[in-house]
Amino acid sequence: MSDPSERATAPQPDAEPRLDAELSRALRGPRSGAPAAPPDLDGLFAAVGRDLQRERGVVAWLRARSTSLRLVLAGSASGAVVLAAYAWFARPDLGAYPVARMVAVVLIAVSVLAASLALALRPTQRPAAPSWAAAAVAGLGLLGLLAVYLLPALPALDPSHAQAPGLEAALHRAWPCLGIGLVVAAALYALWSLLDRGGARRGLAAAAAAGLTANLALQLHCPITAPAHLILGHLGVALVMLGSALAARR
Amino acid sequence: MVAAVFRRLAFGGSRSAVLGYARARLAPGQGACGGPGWPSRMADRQQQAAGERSDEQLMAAYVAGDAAAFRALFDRYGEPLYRLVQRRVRGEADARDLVQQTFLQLHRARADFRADARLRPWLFTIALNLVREHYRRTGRKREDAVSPELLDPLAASVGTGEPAASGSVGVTAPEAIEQRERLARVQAALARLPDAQREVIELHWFEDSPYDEIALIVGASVEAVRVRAHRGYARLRALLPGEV
Repeated sequence: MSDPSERATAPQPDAEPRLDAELSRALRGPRSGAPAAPPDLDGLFAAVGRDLQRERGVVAWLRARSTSLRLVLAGSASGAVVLAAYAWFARPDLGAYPVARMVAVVLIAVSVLAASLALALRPTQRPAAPSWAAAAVAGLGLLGLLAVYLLPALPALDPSHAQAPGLEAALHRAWPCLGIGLVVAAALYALWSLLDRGGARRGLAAAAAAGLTANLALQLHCPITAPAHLILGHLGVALVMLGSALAARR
Repeated sequence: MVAAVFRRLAFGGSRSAVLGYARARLAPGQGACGGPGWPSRMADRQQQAAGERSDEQLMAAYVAGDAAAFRALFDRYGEPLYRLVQRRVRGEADARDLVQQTFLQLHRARADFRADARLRPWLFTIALNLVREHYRRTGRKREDAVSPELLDPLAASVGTGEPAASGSVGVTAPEAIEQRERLARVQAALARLPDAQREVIELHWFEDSPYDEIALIVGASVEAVRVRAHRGYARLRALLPGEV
Protein backbone atom coordinates (compact mmCIF):
# COMPACT_ATOMS: atom_id res chain seq x y z
CA MET A 1 0.00 0.00 0.00
CA SER A 2 1.27 3.47 -0.71
CA ASP A 3 2.21 5.71 2.14
CA PRO A 4 1.88 9.51 2.25
CA SER A 5 5.64 10.07 2.35
CA GLU A 6 5.94 8.27 -0.94
CA ARG A 7 3.40 10.57 -2.50
CA ALA A 8 5.10 13.64 -1.07
CA THR A 9 8.44 12.85 -2.63
CA ALA A 10 7.33 11.66 -6.02
CA PRO A 11 10.20 11.99 -8.49
CA GLN A 12 10.02 13.93 -11.68
CA PRO A 13 8.70 11.89 -14.60
CA ASP A 14 12.01 12.07 -16.45
CA ALA A 15 14.04 10.73 -13.52
CA GLU A 16 13.50 7.06 -14.26
CA PRO A 17 14.91 6.97 -17.79
CA ARG A 18 18.11 8.55 -16.48
CA LEU A 19 18.41 6.01 -13.67
CA ASP A 20 17.47 3.35 -16.10
CA ALA A 21 20.33 4.35 -18.38
CA GLU A 22 22.75 4.41 -15.45
CA LEU A 23 21.87 0.93 -14.36
CA SER A 24 22.06 -0.18 -17.95
CA ARG A 25 25.63 1.12 -18.14
CA ALA A 26 26.44 -0.72 -14.92
CA LEU A 27 25.24 -3.94 -16.43
CA ARG A 28 26.65 -3.10 -19.87
CA GLY A 29 24.41 -5.54 -21.53
CA PRO A 30 20.88 -6.18 -22.59
CA ARG A 31 18.14 -6.14 -20.02
CA SER A 32 18.03 -9.81 -19.47
CA GLY A 33 17.73 -12.03 -16.49
CA ALA A 34 17.67 -15.16 -18.58
CA PRO A 35 19.07 -18.16 -16.76
CA ALA A 36 22.22 -19.64 -18.21
CA ALA A 37 20.43 -22.93 -18.58
CA PRO A 38 16.80 -22.38 -19.53
CA PRO A 39 14.38 -24.50 -17.55
CA ASP A 40 13.08 -27.71 -19.05
CA LEU A 41 9.79 -26.18 -20.08
CA ASP A 42 8.39 -29.37 -21.56
CA GLY A 43 9.05 -31.24 -18.32
CA LEU A 44 7.59 -28.38 -16.34
CA PHE A 45 4.48 -28.29 -18.52
CA ALA A 46 4.07 -32.05 -18.10
CA ALA A 47 4.11 -31.53 -14.31
CA VAL A 48 1.52 -28.75 -14.65
CA GLY A 49 -0.55 -31.10 -16.81
CA ARG A 50 -0.45 -33.75 -14.09
CA ASP A 51 -1.65 -31.15 -11.58
CA LEU A 52 -4.53 -30.22 -13.86
CA GLN A 53 -5.45 -33.87 -14.33
CA ARG A 54 -5.90 -34.13 -10.58
CA GLU A 55 -8.29 -31.17 -10.58
CA ARG A 56 -11.41 -33.29 -10.69
CA GLY A 57 -14.33 -33.91 -8.40
CA VAL A 58 -16.51 -31.76 -6.18
CA VAL A 59 -13.66 -29.98 -4.39
CA ALA A 60 -11.99 -28.96 -7.63
CA TRP A 61 -15.34 -27.79 -8.95
CA LEU A 62 -15.93 -25.66 -5.84
CA ARG A 63 -12.46 -24.11 -5.97
CA ALA A 64 -12.89 -23.25 -9.61
CA ARG A 65 -15.99 -21.15 -8.96
CA SER A 66 -15.58 -17.39 -9.24
CA THR A 67 -14.54 -15.51 -6.12
CA SER A 68 -17.94 -13.80 -5.92
CA LEU A 69 -19.73 -17.14 -5.98
CA ARG A 70 -17.35 -18.64 -3.43
CA LEU A 71 -18.05 -15.70 -1.11
CA VAL A 72 -21.80 -16.17 -1.58
CA LEU A 73 -21.51 -19.90 -0.85
CA ALA A 74 -19.39 -19.32 2.27
CA GLY A 75 -21.72 -16.58 3.51
CA SER A 76 -24.74 -18.77 2.84
CA ALA A 77 -23.30 -21.52 5.02
CA SER A 78 -22.95 -19.05 7.89
CA GLY A 79 -26.41 -17.69 7.26
CA ALA A 80 -27.90 -21.18 7.26
CA VAL A 81 -26.37 -21.96 10.67
CA VAL A 82 -27.61 -18.71 12.18
CA LEU A 83 -31.09 -19.10 10.65
CA ALA A 84 -31.31 -22.66 11.95
CA ALA A 85 -30.43 -21.45 15.46
CA TYR A 86 -33.10 -18.76 15.20
CA ALA A 87 -35.81 -20.92 13.64
CA TRP A 88 -35.45 -24.17 15.60
CA PHE A 89 -33.32 -23.51 18.65
CA ALA A 90 -34.18 -19.93 19.60
CA ARG A 91 -33.60 -18.90 23.20
CA PRO A 92 -36.77 -18.85 25.32
CA ASP A 93 -36.19 -15.26 26.44
CA LEU A 94 -35.69 -13.89 22.90
CA GLY A 95 -38.71 -11.59 23.19
CA ALA A 96 -37.48 -10.10 26.46
CA TYR A 97 -33.79 -9.84 25.53
CA PRO A 98 -32.58 -6.22 25.10
CA VAL A 99 -32.66 -5.32 21.43
CA ALA A 100 -29.55 -3.14 21.72
CA ARG A 101 -27.42 -6.02 23.00
CA MET A 102 -28.67 -8.35 20.31
CA VAL A 103 -28.07 -5.77 17.58
CA ALA A 104 -24.55 -5.14 18.92
CA VAL A 105 -23.65 -8.83 18.79
CA VAL A 106 -25.20 -9.26 15.33
CA LEU A 107 -23.40 -6.19 13.93
CA ILE A 108 -20.03 -7.21 15.35
CA ALA A 109 -20.38 -10.82 14.19
CA VAL A 110 -21.66 -9.98 10.70
CA SER A 111 -19.07 -7.27 9.99
CA VAL A 112 -16.16 -9.39 11.22
CA LEU A 113 -17.56 -12.38 9.37
CA ALA A 114 -17.71 -10.45 6.08
CA ALA A 115 -14.18 -9.11 6.48
CA SER A 116 -12.79 -12.48 7.54
CA LEU A 117 -14.41 -14.34 4.67
CA ALA A 118 -13.12 -11.76 2.21
CA LEU A 119 -9.61 -12.41 3.54
CA ALA A 120 -10.08 -16.17 3.73
CA LEU A 121 -11.22 -16.48 0.12
CA ARG A 122 -9.07 -13.75 -1.35
CA PRO A 123 -7.88 -14.91 -4.78
CA THR A 124 -4.14 -15.34 -5.31
CA GLN A 125 -4.14 -13.21 -8.44
CA ARG A 126 -4.82 -10.15 -6.26
CA PRO A 127 -2.02 -8.50 -4.29
CA ALA A 128 -1.73 -10.13 -0.88
CA ALA A 129 -3.48 -8.43 2.03
CA PRO A 130 -1.14 -7.08 4.73
CA SER A 131 0.02 -9.89 6.99
CA TRP A 132 -1.57 -8.22 10.01
CA ALA A 133 -5.02 -7.85 8.43
CA ALA A 134 -6.47 -11.20 9.55
CA ALA A 135 -5.13 -10.76 13.10
CA ALA A 136 -6.51 -7.22 13.27
CA VAL A 137 -9.98 -8.28 12.09
CA ALA A 138 -10.04 -11.23 14.51
CA GLY A 139 -8.82 -9.04 17.37
CA LEU A 140 -11.48 -6.40 16.72
CA GLY A 141 -14.17 -9.07 16.66
CA LEU A 142 -12.99 -10.60 19.93
CA LEU A 143 -12.77 -7.22 21.68
CA GLY A 144 -16.19 -6.18 20.44
CA LEU A 145 -17.82 -9.36 21.66
CA LEU A 146 -15.93 -9.19 24.97
CA ALA A 147 -17.28 -5.68 25.54
CA VAL A 148 -20.87 -6.88 25.06
CA TYR A 149 -20.36 -10.06 27.08
CA LEU A 150 -18.99 -8.09 30.04
CA LEU A 151 -22.28 -6.21 30.42
CA PRO A 152 -24.12 -7.13 33.64
CA ALA A 153 -26.20 -10.31 33.59
CA LEU A 154 -29.92 -9.88 32.98
CA PRO A 155 -32.49 -11.30 35.40
CA ALA A 156 -33.27 -14.84 34.28
CA LEU A 157 -36.85 -15.52 33.18
CA ASP A 158 -36.41 -19.13 34.21
CA PRO A 159 -34.46 -19.98 37.39
CA SER A 160 -32.67 -22.76 35.52
CA HIS A 161 -31.04 -20.12 33.30
CA ALA A 162 -29.47 -18.32 36.25
CA GLN A 163 -25.74 -18.74 36.68
CA ALA A 164 -24.61 -19.94 40.09
CA PRO A 165 -21.62 -18.04 41.52
CA GLY A 166 -18.13 -19.47 41.32
CA LEU A 167 -15.77 -20.57 38.58
CA GLU A 168 -16.61 -24.25 38.89
CA ALA A 169 -20.31 -23.60 38.29
CA ALA A 170 -19.48 -21.33 35.36
CA LEU A 171 -17.25 -23.99 33.82
CA HIS A 172 -19.89 -26.64 34.32
CA ARG A 173 -22.49 -24.57 32.46
CA ALA A 174 -20.03 -23.48 29.78
CA TRP A 175 -19.07 -26.95 28.49
CA PRO A 176 -22.25 -27.62 26.47
CA CYS A 177 -22.10 -24.24 24.72
CA LEU A 178 -18.38 -24.60 24.09
CA GLY A 179 -18.85 -28.10 22.67
CA ILE A 180 -21.78 -27.22 20.41
CA GLY A 181 -20.08 -24.02 19.30
CA LEU A 182 -16.85 -25.83 18.43
CA VAL A 183 -18.70 -28.47 16.40
CA VAL A 184 -20.49 -25.75 14.42
CA ALA A 185 -17.33 -23.70 13.95
CA ALA A 186 -15.22 -26.70 12.91
CA ALA A 187 -17.85 -27.78 10.39
CA LEU A 188 -17.92 -24.29 8.85
CA TYR A 189 -14.13 -24.14 8.81
CA ALA A 190 -13.98 -27.48 7.00
CA LEU A 191 -16.60 -26.36 4.51
CA TRP A 192 -14.76 -23.12 3.79
CA SER A 193 -11.48 -24.94 3.31
CA LEU A 194 -13.15 -26.72 0.40
CA LEU A 195 -13.65 -23.32 -1.21
CA ASP A 196 -10.05 -22.24 -0.66
CA ARG A 197 -7.93 -22.39 -3.80
CA GLY A 198 -4.74 -22.71 -1.79
CA GLY A 199 -1.54 -20.83 -2.44
CA ALA A 200 -1.65 -18.91 0.83
CA ARG A 201 -2.32 -19.63 4.47
CA ARG A 202 -5.66 -18.10 5.32
CA GLY A 203 -6.53 -20.26 8.31
CA LEU A 204 -6.63 -17.40 10.82
CA ALA A 205 -9.26 -15.48 8.86
CA ALA A 206 -11.37 -18.59 8.32
CA ALA A 207 -11.07 -19.50 12.01
CA ALA A 208 -12.20 -16.01 13.02
CA ALA A 209 -15.19 -16.20 10.67
CA ALA A 210 -16.17 -19.66 11.98
CA GLY A 211 -15.78 -18.60 15.61
CA LEU A 212 -17.86 -15.47 15.11
CA THR A 213 -20.63 -17.40 13.33
CA ALA A 214 -20.76 -19.89 16.21
CA ASN A 215 -20.99 -16.99 18.67
CA LEU A 216 -23.90 -15.52 16.77
CA ALA A 217 -25.70 -18.88 16.72
CA LEU A 218 -25.09 -19.37 20.46
CA GLN A 219 -26.30 -15.85 21.16
CA LEU A 220 -29.61 -16.71 19.47
CA HIS A 221 -29.88 -20.02 21.29
CA CYS A 222 -28.47 -19.75 24.82
CA PRO A 223 -30.49 -17.86 27.48
CA ILE A 224 -27.66 -17.56 30.03
CA THR A 225 -26.43 -13.96 30.26
CA ALA A 226 -23.79 -14.21 32.98
CA PRO A 227 -20.46 -12.72 31.78
CA ALA A 228 -18.48 -15.74 33.02
CA HIS A 229 -20.63 -18.10 30.95
CA LEU A 230 -20.53 -15.92 27.84
CA ILE A 231 -16.76 -15.56 27.99
CA LEU A 232 -16.01 -19.21 28.71
CA GLY A 233 -18.74 -20.90 26.69
CA HIS A 234 -19.29 -18.52 23.78
CA LEU A 235 -16.20 -16.39 23.29
CA GLY A 236 -14.15 -19.49 24.14
CA VAL A 237 -15.24 -21.02 20.82
CA ALA A 238 -13.62 -18.19 18.87
CA LEU A 239 -10.53 -18.31 21.09
CA VAL A 240 -10.09 -22.06 20.60
CA MET A 241 -10.57 -21.75 16.83
CA LEU A 242 -8.05 -18.91 16.59
CA GLY A 243 -5.61 -20.70 18.87
CA SER A 244 -5.84 -23.84 16.73
CA ALA A 245 -5.27 -21.83 13.56
CA LEU A 246 -2.23 -20.14 15.08
CA ALA A 247 -0.85 -23.47 16.29
CA ALA A 248 -1.32 -24.96 12.81
CA ARG A 249 0.76 -22.16 11.30
CA ARG A 250 3.80 -23.04 13.38
CA MET B 1 -17.02 3.01 3.80
CA VAL B 2 -17.93 -0.60 4.44
CA ALA B 3 -17.79 -1.18 0.69
CA ALA B 4 -14.35 0.40 0.56
CA VAL B 5 -13.04 -1.78 3.37
CA PHE B 6 -14.53 -4.88 1.78
CA ARG B 7 -13.09 -3.94 -1.61
CA ARG B 8 -9.64 -3.58 -0.08
CA LEU B 9 -9.88 -6.90 1.69
CA ALA B 10 -11.45 -8.93 -1.07
CA PHE B 11 -10.13 -7.43 -4.23
CA GLY B 12 -6.84 -6.04 -3.14
CA GLY B 13 -4.89 -2.94 -2.63
CA SER B 14 -5.55 0.72 -2.43
CA ARG B 15 -8.44 2.54 -4.00
CA SER B 16 -6.17 3.82 -6.72
CA ALA B 17 -4.91 0.32 -7.40
CA VAL B 18 -8.48 -0.90 -7.71
CA LEU B 19 -9.31 2.06 -9.94
CA GLY B 20 -6.20 1.37 -11.96
CA TYR B 21 -7.32 -2.19 -12.33
CA ALA B 22 -10.75 -1.04 -13.39
CA ARG B 23 -9.24 1.42 -15.89
CA ALA B 24 -7.04 -1.30 -17.26
CA ARG B 25 -10.08 -3.48 -17.66
CA LEU B 26 -11.95 -0.75 -19.44
CA ALA B 27 -9.04 0.11 -21.71
CA PRO B 28 -6.66 -2.80 -22.06
CA GLY B 29 -3.21 -1.80 -23.20
CA GLN B 30 -3.85 1.87 -22.45
CA GLY B 31 -1.84 2.36 -19.29
CA ALA B 32 -1.93 5.49 -17.22
CA CYS B 33 1.82 5.72 -17.47
CA GLY B 34 4.28 5.16 -20.24
CA GLY B 35 7.67 5.07 -18.66
CA PRO B 36 10.61 2.91 -19.47
CA GLY B 37 8.54 -0.24 -19.39
CA TRP B 38 7.57 0.35 -23.01
CA PRO B 39 9.21 -2.79 -24.43
CA SER B 40 6.45 -5.05 -23.09
CA ARG B 41 3.85 -2.81 -24.70
CA MET B 42 5.87 -2.85 -27.88
CA ALA B 43 5.98 -6.63 -27.66
CA ASP B 44 2.20 -6.66 -27.31
CA ARG B 45 1.82 -4.57 -30.43
CA GLN B 46 4.32 -6.69 -32.31
CA GLN B 47 2.50 -9.78 -31.16
CA GLN B 48 -0.79 -8.44 -32.46
CA ALA B 49 0.78 -7.21 -35.67
CA ALA B 50 2.19 -10.68 -36.23
CA GLY B 51 -1.31 -12.09 -35.95
CA GLU B 52 -0.65 -13.93 -32.70
CA ARG B 53 -3.40 -14.09 -30.16
CA SER B 54 -3.00 -11.80 -27.16
CA ASP B 55 -2.66 -13.20 -23.63
CA GLU B 56 -6.22 -12.23 -22.94
CA GLN B 57 -7.50 -13.91 -26.09
CA LEU B 58 -5.61 -17.06 -25.16
CA MET B 59 -7.00 -17.02 -21.63
CA ALA B 60 -10.52 -16.44 -22.93
CA ALA B 61 -10.04 -19.39 -25.27
CA TYR B 62 -8.83 -21.54 -22.38
CA VAL B 63 -11.81 -20.55 -20.25
CA ALA B 64 -13.97 -21.57 -23.21
CA GLY B 65 -12.33 -25.01 -23.20
CA ASP B 66 -9.38 -24.68 -25.60
CA ALA B 67 -6.60 -26.62 -23.83
CA ALA B 68 -4.05 -25.66 -26.49
CA ALA B 69 -4.43 -22.03 -25.42
CA PHE B 70 -3.13 -22.96 -21.97
CA ARG B 71 -0.04 -24.50 -23.55
CA ALA B 72 0.45 -21.32 -25.56
CA LEU B 73 0.23 -19.25 -22.38
CA PHE B 74 2.71 -21.56 -20.70
CA ASP B 75 5.10 -21.25 -23.65
CA ARG B 76 4.81 -17.47 -23.39
CA TYR B 77 5.16 -17.10 -19.63
CA GLY B 78 6.82 -20.27 -18.34
CA GLU B 79 10.33 -18.93 -18.69
CA PRO B 80 9.72 -15.33 -17.54
CA LEU B 81 7.97 -16.65 -14.44
CA TYR B 82 10.77 -19.12 -13.82
CA ARG B 83 13.30 -16.28 -14.03
CA LEU B 84 11.25 -14.11 -11.68
CA VAL B 85 10.89 -16.89 -9.13
CA GLN B 86 14.45 -18.15 -9.38
CA ARG B 87 15.79 -14.70 -8.57
CA ARG B 88 14.00 -14.94 -5.24
CA VAL B 89 14.21 -18.54 -4.08
CA ARG B 90 17.07 -20.90 -3.56
CA GLY B 91 17.19 -23.97 -5.71
CA GLU B 92 15.84 -25.05 -9.05
CA ALA B 93 13.36 -27.50 -7.54
CA ASP B 94 11.67 -24.78 -5.50
CA ALA B 95 11.53 -22.48 -8.51
CA ARG B 96 10.00 -25.19 -10.69
CA ASP B 97 7.49 -26.05 -8.00
CA LEU B 98 6.43 -22.42 -7.62
CA VAL B 99 6.02 -21.94 -11.37
CA GLN B 100 3.99 -25.15 -11.47
CA GLN B 101 1.79 -23.82 -8.67
CA THR B 102 1.42 -20.50 -10.46
CA PHE B 103 -0.16 -22.18 -13.46
CA LEU B 104 -2.31 -24.36 -11.22
CA GLN B 105 -3.58 -21.22 -9.50
CA LEU B 106 -4.23 -19.64 -12.87
CA HIS B 107 -6.31 -22.68 -13.80
CA ARG B 108 -8.27 -22.48 -10.55
CA ALA B 109 -8.85 -18.75 -11.00
CA ARG B 110 -10.11 -19.04 -14.58
CA ALA B 111 -13.69 -18.28 -13.56
CA ASP B 112 -12.53 -14.90 -12.23
CA PHE B 113 -11.08 -13.93 -15.58
CA ARG B 114 -12.89 -11.33 -17.64
CA ALA B 115 -12.09 -10.87 -21.30
CA ASP B 116 -11.17 -7.21 -20.80
CA ALA B 117 -8.78 -7.92 -17.91
CA ARG B 118 -4.99 -8.08 -18.32
CA LEU B 119 -3.46 -11.48 -17.77
CA ARG B 120 0.21 -10.61 -17.30
CA PRO B 121 -0.29 -8.82 -13.95
CA TRP B 122 -2.37 -11.77 -12.79
CA LEU B 123 0.44 -14.21 -13.45
CA PHE B 124 3.13 -12.10 -11.85
CA THR B 125 0.95 -11.38 -8.82
CA ILE B 126 0.23 -15.08 -8.34
CA ALA B 127 3.93 -15.93 -8.64
CA LEU B 128 5.00 -13.26 -6.14
CA ASN B 129 2.28 -14.25 -3.68
CA LEU B 130 3.42 -17.86 -3.91
CA VAL B 131 7.02 -16.80 -3.32
CA ARG B 132 5.96 -14.91 -0.18
CA GLU B 133 4.05 -17.95 1.00
CA HIS B 134 7.12 -20.05 0.31
CA TYR B 135 9.13 -17.77 2.62
CA ARG B 136 6.51 -18.15 5.33
CA ARG B 137 6.27 -21.90 4.95
CA THR B 138 9.99 -22.47 5.03
CA GLY B 139 10.50 -19.95 7.81
CA ARG B 140 13.07 -18.03 5.79
CA LYS B 141 12.93 -14.29 5.50
CA ARG B 142 14.38 -13.89 2.07
CA GLU B 143 16.64 -15.98 -0.07
CA ASP B 144 19.24 -13.82 -1.62
CA ALA B 145 21.83 -16.39 -2.47
CA VAL B 146 21.06 -16.44 -6.16
CA SER B 147 24.11 -17.42 -8.09
CA PRO B 148 25.16 -14.89 -10.67
CA GLU B 149 25.07 -17.42 -13.47
CA LEU B 150 21.34 -17.63 -13.02
CA LEU B 151 21.19 -14.02 -14.01
CA ASP B 152 23.95 -13.94 -16.53
CA PRO B 153 23.31 -15.19 -20.02
CA LEU B 154 27.04 -15.12 -20.63
CA ALA B 155 28.03 -17.30 -17.74
CA ALA B 156 27.24 -20.50 -19.54
CA SER B 157 29.95 -19.78 -22.05
CA VAL B 158 32.62 -19.18 -19.44
CA GLY B 159 34.89 -22.11 -18.92
CA THR B 160 33.02 -24.30 -21.35
CA GLY B 161 34.26 -22.85 -24.57
CA GLU B 162 30.70 -22.90 -25.80
CA PRO B 163 29.32 -19.89 -27.62
CA ALA B 164 27.59 -17.42 -25.37
CA ALA B 165 23.85 -17.13 -25.21
CA SER B 166 21.98 -15.16 -27.80
CA GLY B 167 22.68 -11.47 -27.61
CA SER B 168 26.23 -12.02 -26.43
CA VAL B 169 27.90 -12.98 -29.66
CA GLY B 170 31.49 -11.83 -29.80
CA VAL B 171 31.93 -11.52 -26.05
CA THR B 172 35.22 -12.95 -24.84
CA ALA B 173 35.66 -15.02 -21.71
CA PRO B 174 37.36 -12.21 -19.68
CA GLU B 175 34.55 -9.85 -20.62
CA ALA B 176 32.03 -12.47 -19.63
CA ILE B 177 33.75 -12.99 -16.29
CA GLU B 178 33.81 -9.25 -15.71
CA GLN B 179 30.13 -8.98 -16.54
CA ARG B 180 29.36 -11.94 -14.32
CA GLU B 181 31.14 -10.30 -11.40
CA ARG B 182 29.37 -7.03 -12.08
CA LEU B 183 26.03 -8.77 -12.10
CA ALA B 184 26.90 -10.49 -8.84
CA ARG B 185 27.61 -7.09 -7.27
CA VAL B 186 24.36 -5.68 -8.62
CA GLN B 187 22.47 -8.70 -7.32
CA ALA B 188 24.08 -8.35 -3.90
CA ALA B 189 23.07 -4.68 -3.87
CA LEU B 190 19.52 -5.60 -4.90
CA ALA B 191 19.38 -8.00 -1.98
CA ARG B 192 20.06 -5.12 0.39
CA LEU B 193 17.04 -3.16 -0.76
CA PRO B 194 13.81 -3.24 1.25
CA ASP B 195 11.38 -5.79 -0.16
CA ALA B 196 8.97 -3.19 -1.53
CA GLN B 197 11.72 -1.43 -3.52
CA ARG B 198 13.39 -4.63 -4.63
CA GLU B 199 10.14 -6.10 -5.92
CA VAL B 200 9.43 -3.01 -7.98
CA ILE B 201 12.93 -2.84 -9.42
CA GLU B 202 12.96 -6.52 -10.30
CA LEU B 203 9.67 -6.24 -12.11
CA HIS B 204 10.67 -2.98 -13.78
CA TRP B 205 14.21 -3.85 -14.68
CA PHE B 206 14.20 -7.56 -15.37
CA GLU B 207 10.66 -8.09 -16.57
CA ASP B 208 10.17 -4.80 -18.40
CA SER B 209 6.91 -4.25 -16.61
CA PRO B 210 5.58 -0.70 -16.90
CA TYR B 211 4.76 1.15 -13.70
CA ASP B 212 1.01 0.88 -14.11
CA GLU B 213 1.32 -2.87 -14.42
CA ILE B 214 3.64 -3.08 -11.40
CA ALA B 215 1.06 -1.06 -9.47
CA LEU B 216 -1.52 -3.75 -10.22
CA ILE B 217 0.89 -6.50 -9.23
CA VAL B 218 2.01 -5.05 -5.89
CA GLY B 219 -1.29 -3.41 -4.97
CA ALA B 220 -0.05 0.17 -4.75
CA SER B 221 -0.69 3.36 -6.68
CA VAL B 222 1.37 4.13 -9.78
CA GLU B 223 2.78 7.13 -7.92
CA ALA B 224 3.94 4.97 -5.01
CA VAL B 225 5.51 2.49 -7.40
CA ARG B 226 7.43 5.30 -9.13
CA VAL B 227 8.67 6.52 -5.77
CA ARG B 228 9.76 3.03 -4.74
CA ALA B 229 11.59 2.60 -8.03
CA HIS B 230 13.22 6.03 -7.67
CA ARG B 231 14.35 5.29 -4.13
CA GLY B 232 15.47 1.81 -5.07
CA TYR B 233 17.55 3.00 -8.02
CA ALA B 234 19.01 5.79 -5.88
CA ARG B 235 19.94 3.28 -3.19
CA LEU B 236 21.48 1.01 -5.80
CA ARG B 237 23.54 3.95 -7.01
CA ALA B 238 24.75 4.52 -3.47
CA LEU B 239 25.50 0.82 -2.98
CA LEU B 240 27.33 0.54 -6.29
CA PRO B 241 29.45 3.69 -6.34
CA GLY B 242 31.90 2.31 -8.85
CA GLU B 243 29.22 0.98 -11.10
CA VAL B 244 26.70 3.75 -11.47
